[in-house]
Amino acid sequence: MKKIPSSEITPEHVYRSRRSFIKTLGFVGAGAAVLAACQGKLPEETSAVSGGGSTQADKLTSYEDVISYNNYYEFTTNKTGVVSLAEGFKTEPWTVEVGGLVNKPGTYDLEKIRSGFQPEERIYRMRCVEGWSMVIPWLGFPLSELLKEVEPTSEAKYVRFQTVYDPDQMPGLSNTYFPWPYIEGLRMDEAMNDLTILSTGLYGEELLPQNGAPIRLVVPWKYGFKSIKSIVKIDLVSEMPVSLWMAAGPTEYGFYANVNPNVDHPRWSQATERRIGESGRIPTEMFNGYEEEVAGMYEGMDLVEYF
Amino acid sequence: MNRNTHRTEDILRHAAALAPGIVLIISALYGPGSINPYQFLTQWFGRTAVVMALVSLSCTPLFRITKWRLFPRLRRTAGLYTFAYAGAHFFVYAVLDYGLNIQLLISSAVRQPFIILGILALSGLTVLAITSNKNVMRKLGRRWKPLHRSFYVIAVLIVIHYYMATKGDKLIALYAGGLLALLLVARPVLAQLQKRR
Repeated sequence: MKKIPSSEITPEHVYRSRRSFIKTLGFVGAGAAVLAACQGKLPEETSAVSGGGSTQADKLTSYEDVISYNNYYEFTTNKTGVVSLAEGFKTEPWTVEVGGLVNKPGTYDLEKIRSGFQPEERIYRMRCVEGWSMVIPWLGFPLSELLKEVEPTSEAKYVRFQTVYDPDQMPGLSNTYFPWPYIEGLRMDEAMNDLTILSTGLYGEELLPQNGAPIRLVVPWKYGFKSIKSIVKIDLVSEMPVSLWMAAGPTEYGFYANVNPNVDHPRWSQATERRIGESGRIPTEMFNGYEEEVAGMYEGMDLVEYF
Repeated sequence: MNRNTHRTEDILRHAAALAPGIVLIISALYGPGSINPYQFLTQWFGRTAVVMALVSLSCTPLFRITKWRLFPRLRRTAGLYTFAYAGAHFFVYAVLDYGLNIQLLISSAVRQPFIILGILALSGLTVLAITSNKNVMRKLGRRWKPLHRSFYVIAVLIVIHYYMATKGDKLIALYAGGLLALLLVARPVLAQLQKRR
């Protein structure tokens, strides 16, 4: 489990994050102060995130935490329970059907995806609607590259994504509260935005099942649930798709789900967030800090109404 | 029951009530709970408080049925630990997670009404906990019982708070609500039945 390629960052980070947690719990209040004094590194870590606004100094979330703390309800609603239930999940053979309002529909198996698209590393913040966040070095390619290949027609206004539905391998699917399969959607311009990627790996490794193997969406300026996992179907459509969460809780989850500190979820204040592996809360940024790249798409839109 | 078995039973009751808290703290420090410890502890201390409240409310009906003297004592213990876990739940949320940032706490309470229900419930539990030792009980005399009947109302607040705070599938919160309703209805029903005998 401990395949950590970026070794110069991670182990120390894990070590320090555990330290800082113990520190804030106050169990070793005085001891931590001494520790901070002789290490000289602890204050740096907190100042990087408490400064508000600037996230230049974002630290990667440890590989260990990224692969063991997952919201993947097809397996279980217990975030730390996904890893064991998803172990051995079969991701080969795998195909992604790309169709709908396109000129060149296609079936993409993993071979075709690997040979057709060059994955690059993208370090993104991932903000969960529950109020926690991670910083993850993804491997992936822009969704726009795939969409250009299938040539959307002029009627295509939205992209609809669907997760695999496999009750034999996914025990969580027996929970009939949710209208499976998992569906998500993006508006055409959002899907074509350069930040939007299809990811096949993280931390230099192939995706593990709990992180949405073999291929998933990553939309870093939206709440995490938009970044749909284990995709089997991508359709270009004319009408706004209804996502699983919109269907399950229409007053709680909207289509856009842009990270927005000024629009609260009924259960969670979205003004601040907890960075996994770090202590204390940091201010949440508009569009998760990607305002420059994406704000233009929402000009003139009431973001309270279109939450 | 002699003094020693009494003492042993006291210890067992407290040990049983403390056990979930110890497991949760260990998990938050060293186990799976350590990845997002404040969210983990807030949620699980809260759930444990719900369980304690329901255990406490089951004691009177169970005593009426079984006549086992353990139950009245367990009712008090579980009631006190409802307060303890609800307090721990609030402490993690307000102090550890939000660092007592009053402005943030107030703005989230105003915008999220379930937090106000939780604060009301915890305030009520605090009053009941303070008035549950023998000296205060004696001082309050006949007023003690009506005061402590407010636990029924507090339990309702707790379960509504739990329901509103649950993400997605609220089935377990609904079960808790169903059980609570059953326990509240069981009291007058059992009392009536026994009067008739």
